[in-house]
Amino acid sequence: MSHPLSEKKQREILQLLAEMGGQVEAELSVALDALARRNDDAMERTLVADRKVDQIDRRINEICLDYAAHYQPSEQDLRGIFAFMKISLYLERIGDYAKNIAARSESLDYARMTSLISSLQRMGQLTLKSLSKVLNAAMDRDIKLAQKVWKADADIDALYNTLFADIMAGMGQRPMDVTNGMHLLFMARNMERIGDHISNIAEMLHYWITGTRFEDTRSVYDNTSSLTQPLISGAESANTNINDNPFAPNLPETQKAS
Amino acid sequence: MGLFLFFLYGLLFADSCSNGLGACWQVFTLVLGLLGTVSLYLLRPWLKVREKILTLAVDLKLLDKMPKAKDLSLSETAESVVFTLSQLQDNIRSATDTMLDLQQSQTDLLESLPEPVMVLDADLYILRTNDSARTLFGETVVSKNLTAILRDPELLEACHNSLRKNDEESIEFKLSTPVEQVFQARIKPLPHRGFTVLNEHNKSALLLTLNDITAIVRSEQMRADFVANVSHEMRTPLASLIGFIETLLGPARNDMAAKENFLRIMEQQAKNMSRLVEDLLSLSRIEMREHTQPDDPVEVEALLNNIAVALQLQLKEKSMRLIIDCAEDLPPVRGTDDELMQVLANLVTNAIRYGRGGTPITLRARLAAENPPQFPHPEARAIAISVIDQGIGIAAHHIPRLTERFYRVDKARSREVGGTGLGLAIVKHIINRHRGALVIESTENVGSNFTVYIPAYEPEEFFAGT
Repeated sequence: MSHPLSEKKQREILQLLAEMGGQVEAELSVALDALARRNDDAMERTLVADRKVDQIDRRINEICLDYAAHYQPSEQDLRGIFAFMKISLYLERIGDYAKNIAARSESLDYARMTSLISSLQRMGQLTLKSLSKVLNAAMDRDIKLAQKVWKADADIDALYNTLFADIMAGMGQRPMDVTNGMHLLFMARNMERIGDHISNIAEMLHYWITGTRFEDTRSVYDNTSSLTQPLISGAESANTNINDNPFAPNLPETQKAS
Repeated sequence: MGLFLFFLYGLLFADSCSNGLGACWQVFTLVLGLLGTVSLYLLRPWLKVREKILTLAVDLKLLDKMPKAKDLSLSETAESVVFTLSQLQDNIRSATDTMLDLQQSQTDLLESLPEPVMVLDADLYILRTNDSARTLFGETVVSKNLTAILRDPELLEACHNSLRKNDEESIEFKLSTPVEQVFQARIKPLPHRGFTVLNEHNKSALLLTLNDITAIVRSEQMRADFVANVSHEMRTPLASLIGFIETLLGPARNDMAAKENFLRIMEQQAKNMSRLVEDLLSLSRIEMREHTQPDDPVEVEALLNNIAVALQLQLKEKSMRLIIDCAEDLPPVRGTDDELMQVLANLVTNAIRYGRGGTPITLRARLAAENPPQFPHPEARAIAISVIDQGIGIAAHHIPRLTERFYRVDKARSREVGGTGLGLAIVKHIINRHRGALVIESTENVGSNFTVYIPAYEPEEFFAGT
């Protein structure tokens, strides 16, 4: 790290990453606004942001490769180049997922599954917070904060697992909700992937600065692939138990036990 | 001049005695003469210096006028030099002190501003912050780049525009950590570099001021949501009414049985809308009065008894009975009786609607042992009136939102039993007006307890001039 040029180059790349990060944060924020039905122009804004993000991604790759080709980077510098290129890639993917969430929210029927939509919105807020934190950590070279963000991905995964199960149950109980449920599932999945990429960015930061990756002691994973609860057929639950259970969330008793 | 004459005289005198003494005298006067010229020669620049020092002293107003150079001896000259120089040093010191004071008061001014303020350089590195900025972004934010804390693309663009055009910019942006907030940023170029004096390398270039408009934005959103909700609530029964009217005028014109049926449904829908309008008016009336605390004494036991009488029909319909458990010698509460009646009516009606048929509803009134945390005056005495039912209960995650306008746990059921979605909102506003608190506890499948805490009527408050 003693090469006088590398500090300046690092700063240049970090500034670009900051700019890119800002665009991606804005994209995710617009997507969440669309999910809360607070804007109409989500699609256009995310497209514009997406283009800028791609531009910066290309520029970062150029600078990194150029630097690696023309100078003798030290070990940490080389790690830095590698990490920056990966972080740029992850940010670009996050932007893409945000764009998809914004697009899909236009197909949602907001009158149905309102509590699930609220849960999805909460998951989205958590994801946006995490993204801001990891970008702050990158600008500050704060590996402690990066580690916190990496660990906090478990919360996002836990929310995803619960939401997935709830959506499945909701679709099972009311066949009319299947379309909505599908859209919600995809959006939840997108958010979970965003969370994943955020923790990847955190790991790359740590790798750049210390040369080591995180210990994988996380205990919460995406367990939705093992969900085998059969969906309850529409006929059984068409006459819902409204008269007996006015305050319970719309889940039949058996689902709650799982 | 005198020295020259003396020199001449000496020479002449020496000439007149041309013996040994004369020779000595000649040498003596020669030496003296030489010494004299040499010292005069040496003294002249020194005299010039003295003159300059004295001019400076006069300029600095340390002397009223310049004394004649030859009036001052060498030591006096030296003194005057020292004196002038020390005065100069004092002047410089006091000027520096003044500048430091100015800078400190500048800092004090900046610190005292309630809005976060930051001074940035041309590369957007943070040079200076005030207390509010450090509270918002952390103590170590100085010398970081702006992008370490704020990356909104529009904000960054506004900063660059401001630098380029040397013009003020204003932009709104959102911050997601630590909490969701919305700010109005004002960016102003700083041409005078006044914020970077005394040993700082980076030149100050931009002033960034943030104004927290989160509350305003939220309130706008809530207003918009409310209007949307009311319209939606009205539109549903109206659509239904219009549908039935069209049917009665058309296909079902001669169908007596259908007419009977449809008219009953239309009556119900119309009554629903009427109830909604009544509740909206109620809410509006209460909100207008909310800032004035009531100041009449109201007897609690009478209140409870009146409610039992008023709702006896609804209670009988579901075979539910009201148990009144009022403590002895309860002081009156400070309130408006018809508003408190409405609170109890709304709470008991909910207990009837969502309670299980055949179960009792308990109305309990006690002096509160401990005031809940949200009670405005923690030390004041309060009466706790509880409405306890053995209904189905409310899930924990619904409870914080229960008093929101139009919030329902089960929309279909609520409409079926004639609820408007505003009952608890009305309760909340009345309790606010009474400077009380509402506490909701519930266990699913067991029951619910809605307790209102109302300040007791303390006559001394009116006479002591609190």
